[in-house]
Amino acid sequence: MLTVRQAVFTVVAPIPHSGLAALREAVATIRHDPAGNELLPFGRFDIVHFASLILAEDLEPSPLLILELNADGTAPSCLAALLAGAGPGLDALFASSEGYPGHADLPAAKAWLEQHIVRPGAYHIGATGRTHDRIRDETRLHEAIQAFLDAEEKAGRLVGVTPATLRAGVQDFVRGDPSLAWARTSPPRQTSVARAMHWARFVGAIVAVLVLLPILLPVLFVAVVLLRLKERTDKVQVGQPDDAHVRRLQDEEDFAAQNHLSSVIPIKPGVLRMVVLRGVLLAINLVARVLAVNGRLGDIPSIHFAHWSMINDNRHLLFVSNFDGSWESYLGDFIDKASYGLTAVWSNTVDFPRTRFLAFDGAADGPRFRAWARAKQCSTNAWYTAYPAATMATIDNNTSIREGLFATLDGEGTAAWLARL
Amino acid sequence: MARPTLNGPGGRSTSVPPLDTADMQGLVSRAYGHLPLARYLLCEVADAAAARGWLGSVAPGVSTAARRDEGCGLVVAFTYAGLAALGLDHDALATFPRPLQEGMVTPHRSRILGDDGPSDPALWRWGGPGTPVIHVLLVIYAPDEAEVERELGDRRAAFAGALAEIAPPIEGILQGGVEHFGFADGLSQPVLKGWPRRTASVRPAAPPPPMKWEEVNPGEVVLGYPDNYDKPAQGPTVGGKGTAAAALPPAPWAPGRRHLGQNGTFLVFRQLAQDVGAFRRHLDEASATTAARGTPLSPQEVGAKMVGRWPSGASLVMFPGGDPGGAGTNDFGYHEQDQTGFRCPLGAHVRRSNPRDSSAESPAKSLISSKNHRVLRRGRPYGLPLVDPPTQPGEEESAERGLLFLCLNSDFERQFEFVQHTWLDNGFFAGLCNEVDPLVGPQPESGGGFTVPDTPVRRRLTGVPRFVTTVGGAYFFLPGIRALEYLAALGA
Ligand code: HEM
Repeated sequence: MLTVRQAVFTVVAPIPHSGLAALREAVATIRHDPAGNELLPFGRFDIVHFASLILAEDLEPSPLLILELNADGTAPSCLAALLAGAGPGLDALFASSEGYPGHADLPAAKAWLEQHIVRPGAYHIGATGRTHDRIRDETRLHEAIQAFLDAEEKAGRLVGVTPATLRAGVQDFVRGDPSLAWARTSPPRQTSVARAMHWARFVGAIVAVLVLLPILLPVLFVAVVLLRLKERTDKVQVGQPDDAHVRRLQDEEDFAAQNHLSSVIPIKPGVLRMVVLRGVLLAINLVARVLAVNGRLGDIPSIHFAHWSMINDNRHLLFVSNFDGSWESYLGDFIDKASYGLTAVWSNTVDFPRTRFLAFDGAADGPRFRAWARAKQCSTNAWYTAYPAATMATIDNNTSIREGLFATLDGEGTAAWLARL
Repeated sequence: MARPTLNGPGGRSTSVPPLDTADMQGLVSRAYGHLPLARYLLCEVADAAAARGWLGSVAPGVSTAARRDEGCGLVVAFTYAGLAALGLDHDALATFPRPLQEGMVTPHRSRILGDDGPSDPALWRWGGPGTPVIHVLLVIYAPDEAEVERELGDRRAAFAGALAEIAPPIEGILQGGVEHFGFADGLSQPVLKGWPRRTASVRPAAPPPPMKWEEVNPGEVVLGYPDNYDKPAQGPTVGGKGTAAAALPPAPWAPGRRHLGQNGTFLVFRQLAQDVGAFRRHLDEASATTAARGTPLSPQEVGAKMVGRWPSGASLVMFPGGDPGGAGTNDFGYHEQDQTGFRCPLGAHVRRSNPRDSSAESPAKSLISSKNHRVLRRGRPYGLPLVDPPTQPGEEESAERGLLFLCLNSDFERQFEFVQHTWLDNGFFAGLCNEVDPLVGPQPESGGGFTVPDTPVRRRLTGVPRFVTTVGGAYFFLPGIRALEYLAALGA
């Protein structure tokens, strides 16, 4: 069984000021109908889970266009598919960028796009190992079983039925529907090879740190002292974000089951912050690969795809996230359940609320962190979700239904499986 | 006496400064249950100077949280437009939270509060885009009809020329703590840590300690005190000059400014019409459809599943078998006994509006996060109860009734709006799929679904209509007494 590969990345391209006007128009076209627009109809690519376009206009030395992609396959294979299916659209986006050859010269265009790929410093995938098609199919399976049960109930066939008989009935129903033939088996969410590989890296990193500890300790000590000095005097944001800015962001929110959040924040100057930020991202990424494979990142159960990366010659930290529910609930989860990790990352960017020892306070100061996060958030100029009516919870539940459908279950397991329907 | 010490949600220990209840309006401490009649007056400022003069004269008589009113009770609150109309300067106005500045009606807010379709603000009786701008809310509480008329007359005489009523007074009633659908209401409330525990005439041996479900830091409701993040809840500030400002405490986060919000809070007011006839019809219909199972639910059981409590208020978690009657207790969680919702459905109104210890994997963390979204409810019903069954056909349609939903919080977005949006109106709450709060949610026109976990498999109720419609609403600032005096002295 092949490992399901998924690519979480951005294509980041500098845009000359002269190209902005045309680009704004192209992005607006995509924004208007992300799934079906004539330029980059994301809905026609059944490898894309979530995608976004962010036009960061106020950056130095030049504005940036950021194309975020969360897709099945590898980054190059995803770009190849987009080029093949929406070449003119990509031209409209990147035409003004230096050196972009145009899709007519396919190999050159592909090479150019690949050169502009930015890989995440740390990322999270909620539905580990589930492709776009699998998520869609498993939703259909659940719906079909729901309809079957409702019909059974109406016909009076649930009277006095035992859990085991009911489950057998559902199995028969699925066996009897050729369009659900695929549901008779279920591939693992993650192969043991992939799991072993991530664990090996994780353990390797710990061993390496332990081995290097004698050398690292004095360095760490100096770093901590320097950090504490900086933490006392670093500028923090005071007051609330600009009202009009927040209104603009809210105008874009709360249409689908999920929302999108993006920010491009200047990293604090100096080598120390740069090294610390890299280290923290590396560590989070190692930990996430082994611990955050069951749909939860730490204790946060609602993130489909999210990542941090350093862009613009390491001057800015990019964050993009595709999450379930409201901004308020997402930020609440950050604050209540993940404040240490987030603080360790974002305290290296400007205006962050006051911290102690890198990971303490900061995001735990809820009101100040929310104000900062809003102020730093940028408008997502276009955003696409392949499944606007599915949350991490429903996706995982649908997979569990499939996994349990023909599994061997005892009485308790049967009851628990039926409770998922 | 030592200051009360308590454990903040982060596990840290917070000491709460003494609560200055004499400077808080009475609504913070009570719902005026001993005064069964209420009148809600929506006014505009007719003359700013006269309005300030009026405010100066009533401020000393506004009920406070420190004393029980002997006669009638009075509450005074202002919208953002009202504060501007009184003459508060731009610098101070800009320090109010954005939701108060923008008001309850914006496209985004309507989207997240479920104010669409029949609840569209364009149709509202007050507070909507097509109705006069509200400046001031006055609430009068009185023991009986004669007193309420007398008090109303006196108050009107006092504000004549200063304020003008823009809508007929809304009449709130108490019907023994039962809302119009027939369920005991107002049972679960947050309790502010450090709140002085007085017992009135009856003195139990030892007052019961607040339950772990209920305790929140005082700043969750009252501005100026530590909130659940152990930082003072920051309210609006004013420039520090003048004797009126000197009476307000300094605002440590805004050097040189004074805290106008101290001992104040923010008030949400929504008039929610309840379609009691539709509710009862639906319970009957839903009950009938459950018969196909062989194990039907009675109409009362269907209703209880929707609310999450029996009509008496008893919790479905504690009493899964039937309504035990008596006064409903509030000492229950969901995690231990009912994580899957077989007793109290995941989508039931009380479980949505406060998931307690069941929102995340860890019950302790769930409780911490649930407590960051509590509101102090202060509403009461309006309109006459619908007798059951109606004595005349069509009776239910002839009169409007519902809930005057009032609640207090220090952060509109993190508290009231969160509860309405992320919990009640969220189609995907707690892993559910496309169903909103069965009791109060903005159902689609074709009716919504409601999942009731059961053995061997869930029941799925369909065609649930929208029982509750928003017909008016606004956000208010409920100042402390000294802040009222400051506002009265503006321009002096
Ligand atoms: C006409 C509309 C409504 C009716 C009939 C209604 C009815 C009820 C009833 C019967 C209870 C159980 C009694 C109790 O626990 O105190 C309750 C609880 C509650 N309701 Fe509502 N409600 C309505 C609207 C709302 C709205 C709009 C909100 C908030 C945005 C809300 C928030 C709450 C909360 C927080 C609780 C307490 C839950 C707990 O802590 O366990 N309700 N409601």
